[in-house]
Amino acid sequence: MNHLSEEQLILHYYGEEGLDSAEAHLDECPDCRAAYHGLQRVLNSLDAAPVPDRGPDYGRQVWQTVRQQAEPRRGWPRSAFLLAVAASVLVGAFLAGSAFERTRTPAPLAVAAVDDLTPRLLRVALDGHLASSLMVLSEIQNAPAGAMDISWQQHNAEQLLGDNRIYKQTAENTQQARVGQLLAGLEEILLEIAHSPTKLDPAQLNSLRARIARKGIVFEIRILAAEPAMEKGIL
Amino acid sequence: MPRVSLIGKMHEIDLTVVSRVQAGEKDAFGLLVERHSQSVFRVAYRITGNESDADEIVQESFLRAYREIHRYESRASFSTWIHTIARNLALDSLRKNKPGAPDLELVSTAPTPERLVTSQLLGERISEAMKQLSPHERVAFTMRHYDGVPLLEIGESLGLSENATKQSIFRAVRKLRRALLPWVTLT
Repeated sequence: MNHLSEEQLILHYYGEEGLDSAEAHLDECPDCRAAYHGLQRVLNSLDAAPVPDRGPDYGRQVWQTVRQQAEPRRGWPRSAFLLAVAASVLVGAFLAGSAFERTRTPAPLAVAAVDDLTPRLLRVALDGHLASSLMVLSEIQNAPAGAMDISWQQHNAEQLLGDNRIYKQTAENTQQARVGQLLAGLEEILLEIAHSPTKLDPAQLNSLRARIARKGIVFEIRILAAEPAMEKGIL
Repeated sequence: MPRVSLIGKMHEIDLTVVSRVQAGEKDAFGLLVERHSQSVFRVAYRITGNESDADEIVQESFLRAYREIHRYESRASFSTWIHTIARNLALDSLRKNKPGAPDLELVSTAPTPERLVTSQLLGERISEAMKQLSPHERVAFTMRHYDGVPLLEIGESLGLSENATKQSIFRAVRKLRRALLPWVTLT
């Protein structure tokens, strides 16, 4: 009788091969059975190895860390980033009173330090938002005459809408009327694009272009984007 | 509900969540993290044997998955995908920081009877035994023993032939047996 090798016993333990013949041999051979039981004892004991408990909030903690690490590199989820910006703006505004309106008069040193980062964050984020919005609008305005598939523009418009609402609210809360009005107009146009048919026939495309032109939104965005932050009323 | 159906259902839910993330709803990824982080930790901990290393691997695994979510294809379950990422990171971690024993040598780890008698913690004993394994042996053994992954898949994951995978597991079992048998026999 050929005994089972150690390797065969290991494979048998893990159910990898020759289950029937190994089982039959183990029934008949006390030596192999003893060897197999020894192997089983060792391998079964490994299942008792404890794994430290991470607690019920572990997943949430991991997600918070992952999100924080991922956002600066990828720039999204932008809504979460912008929420943080908006919160930062509001806290800054609360601490500094009407600091946005008083920037031409020196603020107290402590207040200036707290509030120093917020306008820059807002300016950077708003500039990026306006540039992305302008790209969507320009694609539609400059497309060749005829039918047009606007699925790419719709996808972007939908993404921009969430950011736009946060910006608009932030502008309103910080008394930046001009920026707020522009963003309100932009919101209407983005909504219109998002809810238009994906494939526009020539008439629908012309109609959408006319509405964008009537708003004068492209011109206003270009003017605002070209202005220094101070003139925008952000700094 | 039968286990297979339950697993199938969870797989379906994961796929739905992944689709939402791929469509731009990035915050939905948090649902996947909350659902799988404990199991990913277990995978990482069993390979590294170190809590803080395992925590880092968990975070890095999900970060990579988050950034590469557009590459995920539904052929494998999200669970399989994220576990594979974690195992590869754990293997890298073992190679870089804590090289194990050479692949082809058995290390004599037979503890003295005194130590066996005084040893109270099974976890510590097993942890010590696992450290005798090379990185490949450790990952291959963990995949087979704890996660029930078939040999063929282990080989594909580690870039080994089926025979080389078998040999890794055989060596791992021999080392573990040698380290643990006296203790198991005594207890």
